[in-house]
Amino acid sequence: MSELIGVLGSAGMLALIGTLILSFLRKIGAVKQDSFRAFIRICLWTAFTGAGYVLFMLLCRKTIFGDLTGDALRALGGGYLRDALDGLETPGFARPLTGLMSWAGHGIGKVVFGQYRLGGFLLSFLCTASACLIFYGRLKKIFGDQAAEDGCFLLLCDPCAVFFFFPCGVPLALLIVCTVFSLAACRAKARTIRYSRSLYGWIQALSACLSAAMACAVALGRIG
Amino acid sequence: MKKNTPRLRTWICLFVSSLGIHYLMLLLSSVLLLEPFSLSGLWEMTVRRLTEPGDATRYLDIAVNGYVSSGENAINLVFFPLYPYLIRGVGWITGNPALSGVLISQVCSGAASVVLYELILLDADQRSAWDGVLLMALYPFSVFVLGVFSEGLFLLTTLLCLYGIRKRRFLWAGVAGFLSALCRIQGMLLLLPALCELLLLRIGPEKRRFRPGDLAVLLIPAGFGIYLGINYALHGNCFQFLRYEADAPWYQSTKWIGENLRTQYGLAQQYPGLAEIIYWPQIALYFLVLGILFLGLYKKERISYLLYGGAYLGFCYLSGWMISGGRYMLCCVPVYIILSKTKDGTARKLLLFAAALLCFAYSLFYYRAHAIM
Repeated sequence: MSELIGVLGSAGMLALIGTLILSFLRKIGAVKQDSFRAFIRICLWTAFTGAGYVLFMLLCRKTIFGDLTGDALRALGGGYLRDALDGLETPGFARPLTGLMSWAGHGIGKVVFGQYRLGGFLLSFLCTASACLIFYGRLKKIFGDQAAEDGCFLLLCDPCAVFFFFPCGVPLALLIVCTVFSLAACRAKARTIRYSRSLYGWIQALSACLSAAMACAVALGRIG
Repeated sequence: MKKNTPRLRTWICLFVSSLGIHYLMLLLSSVLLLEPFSLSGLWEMTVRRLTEPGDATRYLDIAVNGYVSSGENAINLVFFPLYPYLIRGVGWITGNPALSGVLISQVCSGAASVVLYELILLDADQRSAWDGVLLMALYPFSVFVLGVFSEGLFLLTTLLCLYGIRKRRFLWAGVAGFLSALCRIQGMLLLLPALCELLLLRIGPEKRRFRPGDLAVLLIPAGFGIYLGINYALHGNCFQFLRYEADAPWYQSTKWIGENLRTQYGLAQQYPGLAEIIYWPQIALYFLVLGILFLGLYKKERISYLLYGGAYLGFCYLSGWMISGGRYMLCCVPVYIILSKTKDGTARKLLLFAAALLCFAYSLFYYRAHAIM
């Protein structure tokens, strides 16, 4: 319970700071109203899916192993997340992208009074949210608002999406990939895409189930 | 004078009613607590609870003896100078420092109600302005505005600064902010709304050029600079107050908000007798104020108010050993401004009802000498 209060308090303050900065930028005209709304929407989607994965993993772990005493976060995610969390305390460059994220997360952690994990998770959230925003923006220009929203959700529900929220190299890789996609598609003309909403629903549900299975496997230490 | 009579009448009403609520709570509390009730008992309880608990004795010591560089009262340096030295000044007239402290506190808090009313009136109707004043008067830990505490003075200087900022009178805002920064460390945060409004004037639709008078906002950090100068003059170290705060009896440190909230939760489990008095209210207030600020964002409240509110909340909750969070959050004025603009009639009534109940409860606990500080 104390961890939950601490996480909610931290997340709330960071969300407030981010929203206030964006509101101020919107007020002075540095950010357009549409961009502001899109950014808030994407951040909320990312935050909710991230929180959803964490709670889901905690639920799996507690139900199957019976308790969550001690460091619940380290207990989740097996060796991969443990290595990532350790990397935040003492960053290195064993893997380039993960090393970069570790150093950056460590730096952010120094700003928030030595809360390295907070710095790491904040960075991974920012990378994932930015990647989604870039992806959403490009899809919107080519295929329209609905397709962009659907595409963004599919990205956040894809089978490996749980790793987008780990303080490791995966969010950074996602950001790079989305940026490259956006640049590559910058000359693509706007076109109408028609697809069955129910088929999309099935695909999203299937993808979400696979991502749940992946998240469960990570939580139970079967992967990593 | 005739033209301003209705306004003056409103101000007097505000002043009297905001203090009257507290006197009523004091009277009702004494009827419940004193067995048998007597006027002498009421007087004794009033004097004891308004002039002796917590920081009151320290303010009075500074007022009488000033800051000292050695001895056990050297740690009084952690208290900012404006309030105690004002007590000293008024004490020359009254001859009684405790009475002076109480007078300053109550007069300032009454005046703060007037300023809050006028501030809300700039953007909303009279009903909202009245609601804002009522909400501030009924804030659960507002009992401190009656006693020898700096809350009343800090509220007045903060509200005057915000009012000056809103009226584009940056010289007045600078002077009020200077006094606020000389009253409490949180006064420094007024620089944020001042700069925000200045930037909006320059970059926003008005595109007003900077004027020399705008530099007056730099008086705000100057107030804090004077306090640092006092530290230096006494101890040769501008930040001596931080050393004293880190030591007994405060054991203060700066830690991240999440960690401090976890600590508060742990202390609530460890000290169940203090949980409902100190720790749970502090945790609840954090999330409540956070929620209200997000509500303000949603309702497109003035960005400078929200920036100040967010900075004030964050600054207070970075405190690693907080036991006066309820009292600190009394001065988070954007909360009253945002809530005063609640349009829904039922929500307004429920809000005032809940505030009145909690205010009476915590006032009663305070007069009963529970650990509300």
